[in-house]
Amino acid sequence: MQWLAFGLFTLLTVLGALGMSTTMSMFRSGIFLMASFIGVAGLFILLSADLIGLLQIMMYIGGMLVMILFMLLFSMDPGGAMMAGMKMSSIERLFSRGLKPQREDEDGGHSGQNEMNEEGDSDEQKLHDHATVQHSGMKMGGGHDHHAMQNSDDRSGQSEQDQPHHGDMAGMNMGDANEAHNRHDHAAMNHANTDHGADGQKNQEQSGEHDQMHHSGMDHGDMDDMEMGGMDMSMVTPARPWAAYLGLAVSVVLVGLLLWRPAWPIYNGPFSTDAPREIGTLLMGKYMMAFEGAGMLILLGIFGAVMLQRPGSHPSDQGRKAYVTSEENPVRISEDES
Amino acid sequence: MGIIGGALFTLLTLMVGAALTFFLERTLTPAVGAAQSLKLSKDLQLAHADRWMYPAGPVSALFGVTVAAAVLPFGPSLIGADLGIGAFYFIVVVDFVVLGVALGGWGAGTRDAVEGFYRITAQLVSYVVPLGLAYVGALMMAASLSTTQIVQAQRDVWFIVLQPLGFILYLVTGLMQAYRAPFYEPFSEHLGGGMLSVIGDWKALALRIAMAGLLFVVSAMGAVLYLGGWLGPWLPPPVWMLLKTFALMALMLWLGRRFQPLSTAQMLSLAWRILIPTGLLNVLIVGGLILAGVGPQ
Repeated sequence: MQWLAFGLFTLLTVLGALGMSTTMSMFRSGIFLMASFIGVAGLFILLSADLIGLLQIMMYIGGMLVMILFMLLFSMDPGGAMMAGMKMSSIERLFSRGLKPQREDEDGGHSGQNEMNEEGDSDEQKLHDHATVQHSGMKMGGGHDHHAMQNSDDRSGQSEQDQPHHGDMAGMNMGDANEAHNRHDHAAMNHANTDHGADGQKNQEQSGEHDQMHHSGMDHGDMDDMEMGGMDMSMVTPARPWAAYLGLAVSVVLVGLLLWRPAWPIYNGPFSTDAPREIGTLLMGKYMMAFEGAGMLILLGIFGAVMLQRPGSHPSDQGRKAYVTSEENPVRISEDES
Repeated sequence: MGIIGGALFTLLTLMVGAALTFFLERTLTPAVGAAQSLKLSKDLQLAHADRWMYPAGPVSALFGVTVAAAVLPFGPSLIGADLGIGAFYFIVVVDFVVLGVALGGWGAGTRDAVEGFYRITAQLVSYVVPLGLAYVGALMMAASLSTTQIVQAQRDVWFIVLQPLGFILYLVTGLMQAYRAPFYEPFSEHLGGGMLSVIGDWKALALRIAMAGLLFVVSAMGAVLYLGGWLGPWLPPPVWMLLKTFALMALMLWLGRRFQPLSTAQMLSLAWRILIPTGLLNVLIVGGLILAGVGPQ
């Protein structure tokens, strides 16, 4: 019975890791990672470390969900729609089943899980926002910034009732995070038209990706170009065979250790299943300084994060009002399309 | 009870609880947000549904509430599984419900549903720390994570008397956890119902049971933490437990309807700026009470 449970959890762990590395959808990749860690949590529970097992599950469900959320905000093809129509190896295809490939004839609003096309007509804005976030100096982003900067200049002397309108226009950004980034970039561009060097370098790295984004967002008919003459566009890097061989080597070593059973030194203390009590005693006794120090570091991190997101103090900065929408209920998304 | 008995008891708890909750909600409150009735017959063929994630959502949600119901004590030994870490386990497995609705939102692939996914995750981020702090007060006084121990620690006086601030915090975060008013933004009309407007067939049934069951287990846990669980003079313990659960549920639903629905940004702001300091204050107060000798010894 224990072997059966062990086998199941191990299978879950390994298959989750395999799925994570081979699937074409980034969202699924995050979920597979979550599943893999839940398998590990099962192994912890088999070792009677139930508290650690549950801690593992708690951290990884919450953590992976939030990680996936931020990944969706910044990535190009999180649903795998663009990659789903391309040639992949069979294991990649196995873990990418059920993803709808993006069709060429479909319009912006109807193309699969593609993040850019998710919001229909506002995908232009979305691209602009991504551009603004990532490349402050790029022309498209610059264009959008000019547009919005003009708006903000117009608005500087206007009444409150125009504020919701501005909020609505900017409300095409999905989520407050994007708005925050947008406004910060306005602020950055307003009083720091510098760092073109740094931006230039970023542009260099990401211009390929940006071109692809531009490409796929603007011109769906050109999907054919990506599959030039059957070239394999699956996500294979030159390092992947090395990674596979390394994994295989480590597995061989581990299984060898399992079979050979060397005499590890084993801690001879009393075995207690009341894990919270043990951990609590240790944290409040022997490791009190480390515990309090770690808590202090986390607190400093929180203060730092709050400080970092404060609006700037430059005169032309619109301040919190410009990007905090907590006073109004969000507009229904479909009404954003004009 | 052995493993089989415990499992059957858990399923019974969940089914009875979810059914009673469903009917109670329908009579007491208008059906908005997560409480809305779903068309079980119509299953829209979504063009961009993720074929694995979309069905996985309601399954995960139902799984979450079912295993959460395993640690609810209905009597001194009437519990699905008396885990030494019951309260912590409860918080963790209710996260599976959030995962479920999030997967369903993303998996549906429609604009509204994916936006619902974003807001569900944001709501998770907002409620999880205050929820932990709402639990911590009661856990400190009970000196145990086991739900039966928490109930036993309230033999003399219920924790709601000693920790009213913690109780209020639990009311608020419980509503946030259960996606009821005023915290039902991811399923609201602003998003066209989010994923709830497109889900149908067995997935809708599973999700509806999960949503009703979620409110039930959250209320039941509140009854365990603050209202003394199955303790009471004349009636048998399971009856007391159900009475307290539904009283707390009615209170939560009634109080929730008093307020305007909050947007996700407002929820985040509320949680991080008001609820967390309140929770920390509660922990401080409870710590002081324990040092002063108040509460179970």
